[in-house]
Amino acid sequence: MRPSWCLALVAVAALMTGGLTACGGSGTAPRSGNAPASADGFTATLRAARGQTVRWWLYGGDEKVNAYVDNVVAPAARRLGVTIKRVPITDTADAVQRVVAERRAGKTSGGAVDLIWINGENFAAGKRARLWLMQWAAALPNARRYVDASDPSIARDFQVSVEGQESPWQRASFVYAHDSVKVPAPPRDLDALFAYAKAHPGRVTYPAPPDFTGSAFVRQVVSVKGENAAFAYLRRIKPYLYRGGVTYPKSEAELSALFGDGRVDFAMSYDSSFVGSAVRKGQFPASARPFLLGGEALQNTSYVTIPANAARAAGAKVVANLLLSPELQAAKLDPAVLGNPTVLDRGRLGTKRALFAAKRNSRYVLRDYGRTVAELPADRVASLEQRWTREVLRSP
Amino acid sequence: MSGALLRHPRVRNYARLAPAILTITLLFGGALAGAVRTSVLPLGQDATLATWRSLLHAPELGDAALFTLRTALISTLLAAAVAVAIALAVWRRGTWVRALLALAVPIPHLLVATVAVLWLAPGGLAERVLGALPITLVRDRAGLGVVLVYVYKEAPFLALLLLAAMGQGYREREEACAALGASASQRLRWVTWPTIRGPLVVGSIIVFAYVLGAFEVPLALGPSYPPTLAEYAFNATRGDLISGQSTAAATLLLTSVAAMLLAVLAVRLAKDPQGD
Repeated sequence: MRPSWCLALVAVAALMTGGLTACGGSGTAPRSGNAPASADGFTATLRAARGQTVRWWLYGGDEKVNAYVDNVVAPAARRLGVTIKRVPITDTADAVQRVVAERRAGKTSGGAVDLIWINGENFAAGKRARLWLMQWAAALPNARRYVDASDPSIARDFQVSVEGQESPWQRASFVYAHDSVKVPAPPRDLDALFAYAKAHPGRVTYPAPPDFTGSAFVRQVVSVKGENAAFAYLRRIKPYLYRGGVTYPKSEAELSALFGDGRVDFAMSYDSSFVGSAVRKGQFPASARPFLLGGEALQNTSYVTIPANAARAAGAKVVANLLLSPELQAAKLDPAVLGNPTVLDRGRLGTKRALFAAKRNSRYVLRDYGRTVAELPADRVASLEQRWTREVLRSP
Repeated sequence: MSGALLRHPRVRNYARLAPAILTITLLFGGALAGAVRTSVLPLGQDATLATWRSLLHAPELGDAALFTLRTALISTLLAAAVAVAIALAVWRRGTWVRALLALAVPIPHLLVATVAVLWLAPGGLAERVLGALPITLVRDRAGLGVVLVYVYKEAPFLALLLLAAMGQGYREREEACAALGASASQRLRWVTWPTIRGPLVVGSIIVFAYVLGAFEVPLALGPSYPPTLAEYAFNATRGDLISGQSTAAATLLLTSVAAMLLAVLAVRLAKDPQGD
């Protein structure tokens, strides 16, 4: 019996440690600072980028973004000799984790991540840990030409100063969806949402933070009501939520599926054109429409950043610069493509402004996002998520 | 003298096992050491026990540990019971029954969990066909769906282990006892149980350790709260991108230690040759 139980123990150890290997191999490595790109150095960057394959890690759950990258960005990059390899991830934190793991392993160059679509706490955490290439974004030719670096919604990402470590790409607004046939008049604000949930128990829910979308909903409540009142509100509404608030959807996709199946009455997303995409996919009924709570919307800018140990930093810079070209920014305005407002400063566009004039309207995209609810500071996001777990999710 | 030592049966046993033990100690001991290091060395900071302190004071950890242990224990006991029932029912049959059982073993857990979600979730296929399900199996607070998936996955695995032990020798002993007039319950106690106890205990330990550390099934089917320990570790890396890895490493180390302790306990308890 002895050897066999010895083997059993060994097997247990093997099984248990299998899960640990991902965390092993730590090591802190000092990294040299990165020389700031010289102002006229972009031709050199373009030359260095030629022939490079840039591995761009980005959230892969948005088919319109994927199509935009594949059909609009990639061909333009190819003309500059740069190939884009899209690395689809379910959560931007995956990319940050990868860079952290490389950093722990002492890998200071040749990293597997060249470019990340990022903002908020993901960027801030990496900035604190000095993971990103420094002082490059403002030197991009298109950034100098078309971006208003003094605009606070560009210079500060979730109230964290960008400091040239990431280059703006998209603007997003947090919107809700309702079915205009079933619920012709959606709640106008958070209190109306509470009244609606109370009158229709089980028909309202939101994804559980730390999911990106659920976390944004909690931040909107906190921004509007103040932190303590917000948590009181979330606790009060909990029993009237889907399945009594015992369980929450784990992601925006899960909430959208519930809404599409008619099991809850509202969906929500930080992608302001998500209703149109879901209708096109057949997930939402054609009568689905976007709406705002309280006539205002959380708004943020998202960026691309380059890890300091990226193997193809030159190619990544070329792509970041390309993303700021008026042609590519204008292509995003079309709701059928992305339906996202531009990050460029219209006053600086000159003759290129004509590109932005022919903006098409869609009943699936709001024309106006009302008042802007500024995003909370990035370092508050994690503590809000933890408080939500403790005070809302955990409490019976 | 060394020759005498090598002839000692216990030493000889360990000597034979040495290559396996050495490999595993190097591979997994290294991983464990790495995890210990990660848990006390957050990125860019000096060595600190702060991670462990805040982990052990987190109320969620207790909830997660309790939920994980409960899920693992119930899954293992149910899977073992089902496996014994299957083995007793089919051990006389031919190889095709074993082949049928073996079919379930290589199916990935995640696939089973995903199919379970498709079928059993609110709004899933079963509900669309039947109108309404009497119980909630997906994202239920008790973790019932998780337990069911593990029982479905692990029972055939355990049954195959048991059937492997119930070969020709067992058949002869069983028939001899029957010929001598032993009742079915006597044969079960004196022939079957001693035959299957070894593989059952070892197999159950493997199942228990697997369920204790597994992650994808609760992620797909489990409740929003409490998480399993593996989910808790995963969430820690999401909540705090930089020092979350230290918390995750510490959590997984606790899980490993718990699994090993429980394995030792299980082996001790099952050591009596009579099985009681």
